[in-house]
Amino acid sequence: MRLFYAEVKSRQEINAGIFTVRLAGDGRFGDQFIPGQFVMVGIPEAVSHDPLLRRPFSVARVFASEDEFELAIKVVGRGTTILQHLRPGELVPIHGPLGNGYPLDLLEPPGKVIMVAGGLGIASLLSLLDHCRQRGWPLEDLALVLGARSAAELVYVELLEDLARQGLRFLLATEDGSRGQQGLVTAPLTGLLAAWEAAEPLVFSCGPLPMLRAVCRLTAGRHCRTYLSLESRMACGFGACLGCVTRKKEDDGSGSWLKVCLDGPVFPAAMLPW
Amino acid sequence: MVKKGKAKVDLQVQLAPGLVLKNPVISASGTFGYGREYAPYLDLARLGALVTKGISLRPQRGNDPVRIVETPCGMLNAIGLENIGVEAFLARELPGLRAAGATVIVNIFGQSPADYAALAAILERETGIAALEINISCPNVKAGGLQFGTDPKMAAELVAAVRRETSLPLITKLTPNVTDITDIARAVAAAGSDCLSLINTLTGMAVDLRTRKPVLANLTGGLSGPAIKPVALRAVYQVVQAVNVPVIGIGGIASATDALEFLLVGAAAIQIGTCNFVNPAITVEVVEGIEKYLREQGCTGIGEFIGSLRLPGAGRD
Ligand SMILES: Cc1cc2nc3c(=O)[nH]c(=O)nc-3n(C[C@H](O)[C@H](O)[C@H](O)COP(=O)(O)OP(=O)(O)OC[C@H]3O[C@@H](n4cnc5c(N)ncnc54)[C@H](O)[C@@H]3O)c2cc1C
Ligand SMILES: Cc1cc2nc3c(=O)[nH]c(=O)nc-3n(C[C@H](O)[C@H](O)[C@H](O)COP(=O)(O)O)c2cc1C
Ligand code: FES
Repeated sequence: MRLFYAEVKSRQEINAGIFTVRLAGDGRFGDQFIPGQFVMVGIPEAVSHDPLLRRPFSVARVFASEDEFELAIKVVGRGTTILQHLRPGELVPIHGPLGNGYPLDLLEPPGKVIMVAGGLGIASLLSLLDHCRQRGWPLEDLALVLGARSAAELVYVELLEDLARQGLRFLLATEDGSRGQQGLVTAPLTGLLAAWEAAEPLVFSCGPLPMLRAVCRLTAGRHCRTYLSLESRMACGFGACLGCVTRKKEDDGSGSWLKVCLDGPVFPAAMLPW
Repeated sequence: MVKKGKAKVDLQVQLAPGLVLKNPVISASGTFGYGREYAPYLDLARLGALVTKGISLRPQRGNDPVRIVETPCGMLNAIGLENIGVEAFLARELPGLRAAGATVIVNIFGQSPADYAALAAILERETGIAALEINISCPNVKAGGLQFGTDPKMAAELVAAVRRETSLPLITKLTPNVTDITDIARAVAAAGSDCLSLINTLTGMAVDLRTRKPVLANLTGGLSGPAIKPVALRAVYQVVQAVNVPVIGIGGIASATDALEFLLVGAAAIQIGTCNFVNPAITVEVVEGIEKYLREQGCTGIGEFIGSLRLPGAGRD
């Protein structure tokens, strides 16, 4: 984990309210990064301490040779509104990479991997997809199911469609049908699970809570191992405030909590109460 | 005359007969974990002291989430004093802190004076504890949940009960959620508290207009961060005037300038809480900032600066 100011290299508007920002590392960021980890981003304009706290964002991509990394951000409130106006050359306070990341020990070919992303959850899973490709995983054994409310909320689709042409199983669903098939990710995921279950796939999911619950339900009892990346309100991002906790499975009300920032954000589905 | 340059400024402060800190910067309880969480960011031995999370006799689970929400220039928290309990603290956390060379102040809380006294008796036997900080912003279960810290008599009885069990230096941490904080300050100082620390968080609330629900599962929470600094500064100023024991200023400190303001009104030391979350290395940066300022001011020791506030009508400058 590093604490540094990152120079904004570029920012790209993807759709109304969604943008990507490419930041300079500090020379060691890329070496330390594990896919699925996040950074706490300081809000640069907050000279008068408002907004005060840093905001957590997944690291979507690391460009090792350039020592740069990229975040994909959806504007939802005060902090993200300020970040949306970042300009190249500006400095952004970065704390990270933080969190456990995806279980790399399991992520060795051969085998099949299913990634299920909802909305900006793609940011976290894109870093995993990159990792699998670097490990020499055949694209044919990787599947990415991406869902969003509408086409306007999709990021990295061109990149994924490009990989699809090279063999990635890429399934796209929007709730309003404006792109890909109409409906939730659960429909394409159900088909994929049925087709791939014999290979005992690893399933990774990141996105809104209702989607994560649905992924849990769909994979429960099947021959697959499921991991979910959670979100929570965070004040510190490194285990100091105890603000981000979530309930464990088999929690009778006396035991301890899971810290999303430190024990997670990635948890085996079996650890969670749904 | 000392001019600018490399001259060393003596930052030592004394908070109690047996409690001298190498500098006045302390991390605040509940914002610094058990110290270990910050070891990657700074040398714990460089802090004046660190205050642990509030420790109780038995492990405490704390409140359900949602536990935190950001508010203008600050945050509300309702962690609910989650902690691993004194036994696990002594076995798992204290040895590491000792090894790191940290000056450790243990923050304690309970539901009755007997709980606090029992904790003091246990901690008294340990080596590597510099002082106890008594969190009196807790409900007294026997008194129908009224907080110890809101009643001078209850607060004084609590401090006296702890005092009987230990010779460790005692710091009593005051709540600002009272009509006159100096009443409580005088009462606990008279009951044997060597030092006072203030302020704890201010009670607050946040609601969500969209869902029409309270944001925190606990409904209310404690407000902290830069938003509370003026309230804290006022409280520290008042208490410094009211008592003869050293006072530790806490509340919204985000820079060396903020820390120096508390020292100016008479605080002998300061604690930094919420801003550790934003910048985990802030405590050592504040130590350096204080030293730099005092050197530039030509001070040889911090004692020359503490309480040097120029009040109107107190003579020409
Ligand atoms: C590990 C992790 C990874 C993340 N990765 C990404 C990412 O890659 N891209 C991305 O766009 N976002 C990501 N997020 C979410 C992102 O952190 C928030 O959207 C951001 O903090 C909002 O900041 P803001 O200042 O704009 O909103 P605020 O003004 O703080 O809040 C806007 C609204 O959202 C509510 N809110 C804020 N945080 C939460 C929360 N955690 N749960 C429920 N309600 C909340 C607020 O109450 C308010 O109503 C991630 C979060 C976590 C924990
Ligand atoms: C998340 C959080 C947890 C806290 N837990 C405790 C605690 O366990 N015991 C205690 O005495 N004070 C606790 N406090 C209060 C702080 O120690 C401090 O008094 C207060 O936050 C004001 O300082 P600040 O504005 O610098 O944060 C807590 C504060 C926060 C933000
Ligand atoms: S965000 Fe502070 S402990 Fe997880």
